This record gives sequence, structure tokens and C-alpha cells, in this order.
Amino acid sequence: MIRRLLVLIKLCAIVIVGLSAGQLALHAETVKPAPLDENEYLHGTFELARHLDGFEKPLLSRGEFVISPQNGLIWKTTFPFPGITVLEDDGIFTITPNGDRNAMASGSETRQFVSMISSVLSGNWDTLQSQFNIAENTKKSNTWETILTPRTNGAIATQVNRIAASGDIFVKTVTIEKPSSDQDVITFDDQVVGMLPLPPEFAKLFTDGIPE
Amino acid sequence: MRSAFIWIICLVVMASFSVWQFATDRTELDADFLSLIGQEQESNQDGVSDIDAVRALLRENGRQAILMLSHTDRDQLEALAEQLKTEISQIDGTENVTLPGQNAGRLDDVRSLYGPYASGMLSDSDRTALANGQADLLYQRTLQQLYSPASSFTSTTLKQDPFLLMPEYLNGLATKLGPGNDIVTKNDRIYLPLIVSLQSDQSGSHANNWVDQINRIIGNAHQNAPELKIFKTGQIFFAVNEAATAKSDVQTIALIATLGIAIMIGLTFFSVLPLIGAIVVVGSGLIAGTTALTAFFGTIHAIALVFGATMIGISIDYALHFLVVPTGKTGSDDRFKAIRSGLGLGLLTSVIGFIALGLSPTSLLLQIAIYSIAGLLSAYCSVKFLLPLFPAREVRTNSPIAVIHNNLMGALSYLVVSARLRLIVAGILIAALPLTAYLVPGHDDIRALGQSNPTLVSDARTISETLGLGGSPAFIRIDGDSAAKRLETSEAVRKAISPLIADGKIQGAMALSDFVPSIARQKANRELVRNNLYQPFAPALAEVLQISISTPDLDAPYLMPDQVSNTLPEVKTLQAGASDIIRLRGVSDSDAVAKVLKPFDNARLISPTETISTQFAEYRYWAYIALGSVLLIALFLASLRYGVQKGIRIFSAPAGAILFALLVGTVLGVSISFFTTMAMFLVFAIGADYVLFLSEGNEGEHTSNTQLAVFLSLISSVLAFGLLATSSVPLVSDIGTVIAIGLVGAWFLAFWMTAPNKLTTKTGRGN
Repeated sequence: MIRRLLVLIKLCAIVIVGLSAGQLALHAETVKPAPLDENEYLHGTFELARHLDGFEKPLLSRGEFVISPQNGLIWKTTFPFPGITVLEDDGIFTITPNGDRNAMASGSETRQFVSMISSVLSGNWDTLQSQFNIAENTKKSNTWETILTPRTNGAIATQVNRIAASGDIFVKTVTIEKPSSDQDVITFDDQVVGMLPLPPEFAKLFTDGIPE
Repeated sequence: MRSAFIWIICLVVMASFSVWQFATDRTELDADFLSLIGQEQESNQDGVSDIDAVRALLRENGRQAILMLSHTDRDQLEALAEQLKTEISQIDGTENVTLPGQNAGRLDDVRSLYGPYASGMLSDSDRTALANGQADLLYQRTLQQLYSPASSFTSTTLKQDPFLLMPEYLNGLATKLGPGNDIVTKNDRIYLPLIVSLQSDQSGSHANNWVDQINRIIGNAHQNAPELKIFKTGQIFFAVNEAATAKSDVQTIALIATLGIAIMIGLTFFSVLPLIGAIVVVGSGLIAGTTALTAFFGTIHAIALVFGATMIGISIDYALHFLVVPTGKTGSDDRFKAIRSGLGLGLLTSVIGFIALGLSPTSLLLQIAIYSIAGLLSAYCSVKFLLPLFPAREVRTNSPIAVIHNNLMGALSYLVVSARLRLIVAGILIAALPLTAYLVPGHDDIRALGQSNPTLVSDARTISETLGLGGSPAFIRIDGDSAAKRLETSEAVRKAISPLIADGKIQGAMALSDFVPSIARQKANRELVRNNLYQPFAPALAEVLQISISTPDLDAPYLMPDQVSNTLPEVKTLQAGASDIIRLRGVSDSDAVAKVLKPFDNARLISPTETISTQFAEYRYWAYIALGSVLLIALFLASLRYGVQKGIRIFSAPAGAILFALLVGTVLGVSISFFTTMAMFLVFAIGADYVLFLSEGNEGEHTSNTQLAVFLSLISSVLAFGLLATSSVPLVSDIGTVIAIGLVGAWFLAFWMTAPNKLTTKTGRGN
């Protein structure tokens, strides 16, 4: 059942929308996503502020991420507690500080999610149009903002009210507003595009990565 | 004339009553194979009978059809599946179509349901971890999930469940329920399940239409994507296929038989009037039988109608018996008087037989009995009141049928032996019947009654092996005094069968206790969570979350089964009256399951096919009892009327016919089931008519007329039932074979046992 209920994970796809937009080949007059190549990966840092309704302070976390079209996404939290979440074709896993790998989800929903990532990485925004109304807006010559509103009949509408992503040559901020009045604000920094292979400390985190 | 008028009025009133009953839905015709079977058990038990539980389960399963799509390319497969989903959703009768990964997003509802009880909802692994002093691992996991981008908690659920135990419980639940509705890859091919829920009224023409549409869509999909393979299974496919096969067979046979009977009567009388007379008699029987059922029952079972209609096929014998009698000096009254005693005794014997059948504690047999009794009484009245109104048509002595009959009688007369010797043979026949009935094994397996399409069987097997879907719908029934006790038993059973699931002997299982842990378990969980998790780690977590965390209250209400069904309607199928059921998927070793359940007093494995087969075995038993009783009554009546010796000889004709049908049928491979036993009833009733007609009408000139009437009856019956024996449907074929064999035996024995020592026929042979 949980596999069917993890609609929320699709939110992560939206984050990736922003991340991939970081691959923009920046020209002063145009802002257009360019997909990561199959042999590329993107590395950067993030800060996630999780604002929960009725909670005095947001849950704040920081860390680094890696995204690779071939493998998936690694979300490595370093503050306030170390923790790793891996999103890949086989499912979603958490890896504890002592190396235990626990499945959070697997199955078709997860694959759809990963498939969505791939679509975004390839710069194909059209694939999201079945689930979202997308409004793009170039604010200045070198910045952009995208507003994604879930379509009313889609399952994602029960989990998300609105998503706003903005940035310049890379994504800078993604805000996810939820029906529960909760809100996630993610800011990204230090993005760098690298060529595969992944550094071993990241590669080993994927199921088919480098064995330790 | 006045009697005829009154009788016609009665028939019109009866027909109008039946039409009114059906037209206003006061009486419903139920074609559902299981609907009336076993209903009599409800009055015998406090709870729900096994057959009721089976019925509910199969009805639920019957609303589901499964298509399994296979392709080498996953993306193409998913695109094709979406396309098929759209097309199938548009078919009239489809309720919804589910593809892997698509759900209406019931997360909020489920969270609302379990949220207040979260501290009592532990996954097996969390319970083990807490019991083993590994609460720190759960705390670490909580922290990790609080900051994970893929977490699904909200501010509300976090307040109710700060350690995020519920997502893990739901995850464990998904693991327990098994895979099933997901895409799998085997041998470089991808397999995708497409599950169709049907609206509840999919039967008859609706079902035919739905299956036609599905087949058309599948055909088009194959044309457009040759690489795509589609397998399908579901009760609706089997039911439509088997009904079409049976219907086609029976229609063809009925047409040939009707034509044959019409030709036979035409060749005997060279007139259509006797044919019309026969139709009037049979029709009046059908009207009265249907009226009786609509008057007594709110729901009439299709099996009762079909069998009842077959039984009153006896009424054509009544008509023929009258029609062959030549006009007497005073007209038609003489004709009826000539056959009155034979006809009356035949009717009496049949009515006694059906009364015996009706005394059995089964509503299905009661319906058949009432239908048949009313039908035969009506047929008798029509012969008495209506046939005399028809202008008489004499049997043509030069007609081919009469010539054949005379030659046959001449030949058979050589076989007639002394009365003493025939008495000995009669005694042997009578003694052999109960012995044979006891020794011939019954075959009540309902799977042997129909003939499933080989492609459908193969598809069902492939889907079961690939996805673990469909297949044997076995379940475990859990009894107990209270819901709490049943949930506890269910949890223990769940644990006991888990090795079988791990070994693949069961593909998956779903129990009410999976969704609602027993109060004992919820309480134990709460204690564990409070003592081992909250007490040591709540202060630290409260600091992280910046909220106060309250310790779970052991006295707070617990989740009860009746609270779940609104959010998770699926659990309704896990209860049957005062019993719970554990639904099993893909059981490949039922013996192993039964063995595991042996220590449990309140849990037992139930296989629907075995339960239904057992029910029909019980019906067969009652049919045998009724048949035995009526044979004894017939022996008594025959002895009263004809004296002991002749009575035994006369009685031995129908008894010997049944024996003959039983023996030859078994030799020919006919399964002796409830249905073939019911066919024996028909053999008895018609056989008794033959012998009574002959023994009552064997004086002088009338003898040959009676013999001809019985011969015509035999031809009509063998035409109808003998052709049934050629059907490709085992059930239809078995019934036809038994009746055809039995009636030939009945005809010969009736002639042989009643023939005078000095036999004289129209051909003039003297013995």
C-alpha cells in the first residue's frame, strides 16, 4: 500500500526540475534548460527548510546532493544529523550512518518518479504537463521562475498545492506548498557539472554502484 | 366442454400470473450458479456457512478481470497499457481500470484512519527491534526521515506519530500483502497487470457484450503492436465461454430433436393436429410449473427451471399415450377412459417421486420438485380436458413408424420367457440396484462439469505463475466468539503461514488482522513503544522538533475493525458474518497449508471448488435417498395393484432401467454426480410411465396402441436426450447419456416384464 501512497516523492522530481535547469547554457538573452548528458552528473549543496504548521521553527537541514541520469539522485544530509537518501530505478533507500540500507519504497510509482527525473534531465518539460499546469517566467535577462500547479484531478493535487522554482544559471530556490499548510523551501548552491564516473564515495551508494 | 373451458381459463390465469410476477420483479430469475446452493444451511448454523463465505468471495472475485500485457520494451508496454486502459474504461460494464503505479491517492484517508492509533501500529521489524533493545535505530531512522526529501509526513501526522512509526507499519503491510499489482520482468520480457473492476450486474447478455468488446480491443491491440502479448483471466471470461459452448450445443440439439419429434409424429399420423396437441400438453406443463415456482419463491434458480422443464418433458408421453388411442364408439371420452388408469398411475408414481425429492432439505431440489409436480398435474389435466377437443387422427397402419414398431415387437417377442424366469430376473435387478449405487463412486468435482477453453486455462496459469494473480481463490476461515479473539487467531495463523509464503507455496495473503491488529497486540505495541522508545528518546526528539511529546496512553481507545471499512472498503471481503477470512493468493500446495493449520481449532482452509463439490455431493446423497424412497413406494403400490409377483416384475422395469443407466454410464465414463443422479429420477419417472402404460393397457386391441405410444415416447426421449449425449459440455453430455441409456433399458424391460406369456401382435405371432 505504501508504494501507492508515496505520491509525495514526486515532489522531489520538482526539485530536480530546478536542478536540471541549472544545466542551462546561459546566455544573457535566453534561459533554456539543457539536459545532462548520460555521461555527466551534477553535484552541489542544499539547504532544506521544512516549515510545519503549528511548529515554532522550521526543520532545517543542510547537505550535498548528486544527480546522475544513469544512476539517480543522492541526497546527503550533513546537518543537523548525518543521513543519506538514495533515489534510483530500484526504489528509494535510506542509508544509516553505520551503512544499513533501508528501503523506503519500490515499485512502479518509484520508477515513474525516476522516469520523471529522466524526462526533466533531458529537458523535456512536456512530460510534466500531464500532471501540472506550468507557467514559466523570465524575470530578468539571466534569471527565471517557474510555477507548477497540479492539475485538479491528478493524485499529486492531494499532496501539493503549488511549486515555485527560480534561479539563474542554476536553480537557486524551490518552494513546495502543501495542502496541510506545510511548506518546504530548498535552496541550492555550489552546483558543478562533472563527468562520469562518479566519485567512489557517491558511486558506492547506488545499488549497482562500486562495491566497497 | 365446460371443464375444458375452465381449464383454459386456469391456464390463462396462471400464465398471466407468471408474467406479472416476472414483469414486476416480484420473482427474479437467478442464473448465478451459486446463489441458491447451500442456502438451506443458514437455518442450521448460527453463523455463516462455508458455502456462503465461498459465495461472497467468488462474487467479489467475479467482479474482477485481469489482463496481463507483455512486451520487450517497457516504455512501449506502459504506453500501450495506458491506451488499453482508456479503451476498456469506456466499455459499458467497466467500473474502473487499475494500472501499476496508479492510485487515487488515498494517503490522507489512511493517515487519518491510523493517525490516532499510531503508537499501537508497529511493523513486525519495528516490534522486533524494540523488543530487542534496538530503539536507538528507530530513533536514528526518525531523524533521518525528518530531513529526507522523500518523507511523506505532515505537521498533523508528526504530532500524532512523532517517531514516524506509521509509514513503516504501512510499508510492512505492503510487504505482507505481497507484490501482485506491479510490473515484473522475466526472461527479457516485461509483464504488466491491468486489473479491471466490473460493475456488479455483469451477467448474461451484459457479460457477453463486455467480453466481446474486450476481445475486440485485444484484437486491435495485437494488430497495432504485433510484439505485444495479452493474457487474460477472470470468471467472466470462463463463464461467457462455457455458457456460449453449452448454449450452442443445446440449441443445435434442441432444434434437431424438435424436428425429429415433429417428423416422427407426422410420419405416424400424417397430420399436424397430434403435434399441436402434444405442444399444448407440454406448454400447459411449463406454464403450471413456472406459476408454482413464482407463487412459492421470490427467486427461481436457473438450474431448477432447466431441470424442471426437462422433467415435464415426460408430459409429451402423456399426450402420445392419448393420441394413439383410436376413437371409440362414444367419441373422445372413450379415448381418455382407455388410458385413464395407466396415465393416473404414471402421474401418481411421478408425483410421489418428486414429493420425495422435495422433502430433502435443499431449496434447489424443492424448486425442481414443485416445478415438476405442478407441471405433470397440469399436463394430465390438459390431456383429460383439452386433447379430447382436438379432432382425432388415427395412427396410419402403413406409416413407417408403425411398420418399424410392429417388426420390432415381432422380433422382441422371441425374447419373452416364462413369468417365473422373469420374476427371478426382476429380483436380481432389484437386488443389484442398491448394491451398484453403493459401489459406483460419485464424482462431484464441479470442475469436471464444464469444459473450459484451453487458451483461457493456459492464460490463467501464466498470469498466476508470472504475477501471482488469479488462480485458486482459497481462503482460511477464522471462527471465534469475539472480534478480538478472531483477530488474535488470525495473527497467529498469519505467523504460521509466513514460511509457506516465503517458500512460494502461497503467493500472498490478506487478513483483517493485517489492517487492524488485535487489541492485545495494539496494547502490547503501545507498551513497547512507551517503555522502549518514548521514555528514552522522546525528550531528545522534542528538542529537535521544538514541540512537547506526550507519552502514549495505554487506556486510550484502540482501533476496531468496524472503523476501518469506510476508509479501506477492501476489508469487507475479509469478513463473513461472525467469521473472519484470510484470503490466499496463488496456493500451490493446499496440503501444506492444511497441515500448518492443524493445531488451530478455529481456523481451517477452505477451497471454494471443494466446498461447492461437497455441497453437490450432499445434494447427490439426498437425491439418492429420495430415489430409494420412491422406488420402495412404487414397489409397494405395484404389489397392491398387481399382486406381489407381478408387482415385483413391473416395479423392476424402472429399477432395472436405473441400474442399466448406472452400469453402462459408468462403463462409458460418465461421472455419477448430483446432476446425473437427477437424470436417474427422470429415468425412473419415464420408465415407470412406460411399464404402467403397458401393464394397464395390455388388453386386446389396445395393447398394440399402447406399445406404439410407448415406442413413440421412447423415440422422442432418445432423440432429445441421446443428442444431448453428443454435447461437448461434460455436464450436458453426461445427463444425455444416462437418460438415453436408461430409457432404452426402461422401454425394453417395460415390454419384457409386462408381456403376456402368449404374446400376440398385429403381425400375428403367437407365443
